[in-house]
Amino acid sequence: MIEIRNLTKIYKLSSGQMKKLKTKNSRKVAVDNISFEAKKGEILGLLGPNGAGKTTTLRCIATLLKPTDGTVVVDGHDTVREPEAVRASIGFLTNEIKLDPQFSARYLFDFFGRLHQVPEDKLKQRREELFSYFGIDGFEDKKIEELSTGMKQKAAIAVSLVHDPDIVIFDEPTSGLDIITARSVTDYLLELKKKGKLVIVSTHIMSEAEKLCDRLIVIIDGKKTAEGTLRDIYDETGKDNLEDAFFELYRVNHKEDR
Amino acid sequence: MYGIKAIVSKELSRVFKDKKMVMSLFILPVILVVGIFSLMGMLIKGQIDDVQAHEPIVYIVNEPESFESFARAAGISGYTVLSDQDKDAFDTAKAGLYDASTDLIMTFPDDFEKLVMTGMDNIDSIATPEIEFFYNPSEDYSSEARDIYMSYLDTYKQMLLGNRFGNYAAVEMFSVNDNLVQDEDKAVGKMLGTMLPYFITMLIFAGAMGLGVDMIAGEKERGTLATMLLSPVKREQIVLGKVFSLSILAVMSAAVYIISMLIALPMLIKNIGGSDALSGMSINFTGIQIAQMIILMIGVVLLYVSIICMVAVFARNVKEASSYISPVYILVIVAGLITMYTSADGVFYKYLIPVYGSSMAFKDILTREITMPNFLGTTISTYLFAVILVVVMTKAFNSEKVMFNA
Repeated sequence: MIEIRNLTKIYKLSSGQMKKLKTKNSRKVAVDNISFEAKKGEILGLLGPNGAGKTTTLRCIATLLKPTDGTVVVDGHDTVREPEAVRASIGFLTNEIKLDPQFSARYLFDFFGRLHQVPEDKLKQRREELFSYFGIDGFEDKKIEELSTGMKQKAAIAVSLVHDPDIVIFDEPTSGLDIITARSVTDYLLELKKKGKLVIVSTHIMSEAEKLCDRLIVIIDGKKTAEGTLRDIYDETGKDNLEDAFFELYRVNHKEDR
Repeated sequence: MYGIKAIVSKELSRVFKDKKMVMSLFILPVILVVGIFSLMGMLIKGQIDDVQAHEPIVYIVNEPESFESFARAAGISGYTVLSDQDKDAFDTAKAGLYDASTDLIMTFPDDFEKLVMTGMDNIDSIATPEIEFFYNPSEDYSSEARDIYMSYLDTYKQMLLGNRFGNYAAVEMFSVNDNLVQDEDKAVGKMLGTMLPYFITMLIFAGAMGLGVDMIAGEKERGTLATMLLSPVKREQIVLGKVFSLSILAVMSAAVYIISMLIALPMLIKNIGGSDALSGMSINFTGIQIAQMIILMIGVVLLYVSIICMVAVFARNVKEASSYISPVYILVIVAGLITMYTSADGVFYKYLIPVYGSSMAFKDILTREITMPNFLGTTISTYLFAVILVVVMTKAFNSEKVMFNA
């Protein structure tokens, strides 16, 4: 399980970055005092517009970023004190993190399996299982750069799951995919949940969140503005669909030019 | 260790599975070096042959009788004699120096014969006559003609001295005969020691630069390094994996260059007719020399590769890394050049300076002048600096600012 307490992440901006963002403030608060918990066997959705702080939150969980304040504990391991233990228990996928284009999916799968110290026989079994589920088995010896966008994404998903992690964190896993490929990804997430894994996804696609997530956390401008099941969020906003509910939350919580 | 092993094997297969990479790193250099050296050899040989085959066009003004008879006796011919009255002919010949229709004009003074023929009885009245040379040093034929006629005049002078004093040996007083007494290995070692550290520096840097930039800054830019950062492998294993694989590749590419030069250089020297220079050249290394060189070499490679990796780690992308690495490369080349012309003279602290000290130690190993403390000093310092760079890189790999520009 994951416990996040008062997570705050502040970026210090360089003068160049300040110019780009047209701000005179040298600090940018990306995540502002967020706390939540997630348990095994559930799919938790992080919902928010672009730049709200979803990816930063997920990267803090994955140990790629260190919290400015607050703590993140994954399966009993603190992300700052025991980053290796945390990384061993999670599978993480995000758009900016990519597979080496010069290698084949099979090579990279085995390479990351070795980095995760998966035994050779287990590795072979995982590869066959995941490659056949995502339909990569016909393309496994092709270089990543020769694969289609959808196939690349599916290969990246397979590689991120090589060590059969208990916690799966996917940052916008279906972005850029066609409906069929997207559906196979979301179906797999449901299957992972069935196996008792904890799945956290970030998305800005409302229909996906509605169908997939057991619980939702809405993040706007770095702050947690709502948390609960779909029903909880409908009740809180007085709306009967997620899109309207989200707009309502955004209208109330977003301040221009903070 | 499992992380280092997996990363080294991946980085090596990245190079060796790519036909273009293998071609550009290991095959093209051989073709280029051998090709360039053969071409150079052919061109130089062609030029030398051409100059030697050329019949120099020489004018001699006011040729004295003694020279004429000397030339006849020595079989020197092919020059044109001009009278000093014929101003036009002289001017035409002189103008010819500019367009290479004349190679040399030699003018004897009017009273030349009289002055050189004056005997010992009138020794106080003797003055030195001056022979004037007109030649064009920017023309190869002209320079060559001057050299040839200077050597003729030397012999001519000896003949005249013999005439005046009756016996040339009495005038020469003494001659010097060089007898070379030297340790051949040390002599060759000294020559190698001047060039080798510089070449090694240049080749290792040149081989590792492009690869290192791509291996770290390129992976950072492509987002593939982050994938590796998500694995439970410790950061130092990733750094060491990169440094070791780059070291292996750098040594291999340097070896390819050195081997192709070893093939091509004798070819070049033979081509330009200098094979005598090679005949006596051989070098024998002792076991200790070889061990010392290998130990130091590994340290130097690790240090250079770490320097390159360091630059690539702190650069935000390949473009930035490439522009940072060029001045570093120039600095290292300059340091290498300095080592060609200086000596540490066994002063201990000089051996502790990275890059410089190890180059000095290489020289001393080759000339067998290295002392154990100096060798240990430079080895420890070289490895220590490499370790410091690796530690700094590990810190950088842990820094989100450096890794994600966050």
